[in-house]
Amino acid sequence: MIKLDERLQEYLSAIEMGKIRDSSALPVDDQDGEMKQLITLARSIRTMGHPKPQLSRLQAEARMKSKMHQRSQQSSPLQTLFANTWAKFALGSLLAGYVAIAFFTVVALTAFGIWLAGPRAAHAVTMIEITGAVESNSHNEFWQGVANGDQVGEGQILRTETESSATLVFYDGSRMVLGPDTEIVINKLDGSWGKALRVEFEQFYGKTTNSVVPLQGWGSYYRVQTPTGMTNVLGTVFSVAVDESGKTRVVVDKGEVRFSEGEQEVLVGAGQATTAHPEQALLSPTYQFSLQGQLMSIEGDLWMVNDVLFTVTSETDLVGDPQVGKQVLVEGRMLDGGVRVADHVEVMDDEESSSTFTGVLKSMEGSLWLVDNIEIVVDQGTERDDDLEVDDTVEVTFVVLGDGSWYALEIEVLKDEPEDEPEPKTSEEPPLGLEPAKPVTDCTGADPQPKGQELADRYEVAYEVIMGWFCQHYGFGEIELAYQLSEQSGMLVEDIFALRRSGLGWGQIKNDLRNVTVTPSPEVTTTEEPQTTEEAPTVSETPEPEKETGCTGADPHPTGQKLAKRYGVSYDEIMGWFCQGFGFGEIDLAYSLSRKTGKPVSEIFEMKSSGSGWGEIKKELDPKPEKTKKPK
Amino acid sequence: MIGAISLETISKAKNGDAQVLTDLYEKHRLSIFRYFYYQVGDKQAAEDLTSEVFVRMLGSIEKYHPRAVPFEAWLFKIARNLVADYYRSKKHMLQLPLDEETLAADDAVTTSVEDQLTSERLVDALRSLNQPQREVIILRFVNRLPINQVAKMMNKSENSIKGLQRRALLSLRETLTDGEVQDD
Repeated sequence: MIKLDERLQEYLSAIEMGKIRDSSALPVDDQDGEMKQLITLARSIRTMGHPKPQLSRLQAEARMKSKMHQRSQQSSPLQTLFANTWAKFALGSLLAGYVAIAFFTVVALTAFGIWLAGPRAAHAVTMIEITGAVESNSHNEFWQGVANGDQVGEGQILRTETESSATLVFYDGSRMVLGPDTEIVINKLDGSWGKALRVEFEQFYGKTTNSVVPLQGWGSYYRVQTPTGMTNVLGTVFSVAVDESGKTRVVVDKGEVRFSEGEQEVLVGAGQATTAHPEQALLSPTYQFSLQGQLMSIEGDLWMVNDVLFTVTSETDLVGDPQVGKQVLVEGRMLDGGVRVADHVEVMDDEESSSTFTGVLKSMEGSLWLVDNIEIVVDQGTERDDDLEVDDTVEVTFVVLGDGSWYALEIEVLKDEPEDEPEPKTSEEPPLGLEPAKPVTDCTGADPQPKGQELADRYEVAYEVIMGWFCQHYGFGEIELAYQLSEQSGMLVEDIFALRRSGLGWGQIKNDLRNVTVTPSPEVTTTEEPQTTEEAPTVSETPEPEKETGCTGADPHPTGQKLAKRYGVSYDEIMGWFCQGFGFGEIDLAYSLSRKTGKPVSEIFEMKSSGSGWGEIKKELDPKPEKTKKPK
Repeated sequence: MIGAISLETISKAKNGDAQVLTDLYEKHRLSIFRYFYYQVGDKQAAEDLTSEVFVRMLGSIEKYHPRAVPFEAWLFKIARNLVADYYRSKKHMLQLPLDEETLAADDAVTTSVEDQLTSERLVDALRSLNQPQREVIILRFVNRLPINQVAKMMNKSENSIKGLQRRALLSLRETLTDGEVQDD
């Protein structure tokens, strides 16, 4: 019996240390399967969603303060305990001179040691943007909840639970976002004077998104070790996802990542992704695609989202039981011959839809451009960087038109090399529950921060004010944009950040402020555009389109139902447009534009039918200010 | 820096530093809340008991000696006492039959026990365990505490915790599989 107890504990310890991730590693000599069952049950309890307390932080604080107030009414006789202890120590010392010499020696050695060890700030990382349950542990001690502003260091383990996340801010301004259900350990965290940084994590499972400021100084590095390889970067934006089997997916947005396992090594450039399977050769990096929308069909290994077909293999990571009709996020790689292979398909609650892919811009003549081997339709309405050139690596956001062509809504250049002064990427989510506007200067490690100083000079505000926003986890790009918009619209910077915190994207805020010329109250801009609400579109006179039957093959069509629900119109109305030859992506776009602009959806479709491209229609109905550089 | 609670922190807490006390509350309330939830099976009661732990902590922190026992173990000691008080004052809770409807819900030959596991089902199944078994499941797998810490908190040897956790998992699995009530 004792042996069984010991063996069970050995397996449980292996799980706790992240060494067992799937059932293949469970005992094979388990005759009756008992051991396996117990381990599986223990794992399930460890990883299942557990309830959380409902009291808010403020309620907790109020409760504690109230109790403190009550305590202050009572006498406190034990406060001198430690003071007495130290007094005895001091009085008992008969070697005061020796102590003095020793003291100066220690001070000198300590100073030298500090110089060698580098700045103190380099040895700690600050936790911000905590949502849900985030905990820390070190040296096999107790797990503790982590709060905004806490600092963690070498040897500490961090984990997030379902629907939880956290951002780690480093000494040099680099950032790591821990996604839900993620666990990492900080194996190395130090640096030296001059913003040199040495960081090494081990990522057991989950997803991290890393924004690394170009490393400075000899010996700097930023590494993420996973069960199937090591990423090593020199200033970039990339994400690392590790599933239960240890499979690792590395996606690079900017810069370059060196991914290695033993003797093997691959370079993953901007816009590329690679996947590493346990005990398999590393795959060559390829360009990638991402689809978010309703799963429209599953036919064998061919699945469809947003009218885009892709292949699902036995190695595709499926999360949350994807079924036709469910909203999903698909991430995958573009292989030779136009084959798209999904690495990850996950059921999502978010009802947004978008389609993107990356590749090299091969030609840009006329309205048909070529990105790798994919033809995309481009017109005046396509949002794109001004300095776009052939051979640029780009990310294309597109929608599939009724004739099957891919219309480019936006083309963005992905930098192969990190920019001169890249800014740490900030979370898309607004900050939760942080107190605003109190300038903080110790969250970056560098004082003064050059970019902060530059913005302070440019907009003639105090450096502390700029850094106050930065320390509230806005990137310098966001801060600059907010000040620009403030200058253009007259709206207070505080109000612009308030809009951002309310959940609006920067693009939407820019649109909302476009016609504002005097200082308004924030309410002026928040009255518009409930893009994701379920309320009916502004067009009530939309004529019922001629209805045809039998044109979909599926009755009812799940995407049609979804769009009908999203825009508060009848299913027949949506399918009427579909049967007239418009794709669901086009229908989605038309209703979205109608909702945003007030233009009846029928007139929008008429514009399309009369020969206008979607880009032109979009530009005419929903023009955006001249784009110079996309802030990140 | 997060880590073991320092003497300085304890000293500040003893002197009534509101920020330190709030931080201690923030750092431990999730694990304490879950401990209570799975002990008593009621979220509201778990919230109340969690608050009570910290109220009692405030009342007795002056007597706490950090070198005698880690702060967390001391906090859980308060929690364990509260659970005992709770059960003493609500004896009927112990006599409640298992919610076999919940346990049997969605039972299907093709669905594993683990696939059906929810916090509600776990609460119901935990009721079939005796108090030490229930406690070891909560501390080891809900609060994910290492075995040496659980041993300290439960005043038992590590070997005894290893045996206890295996027996607890066996009982729990049996309950979850067939929904039958087991006698303590």
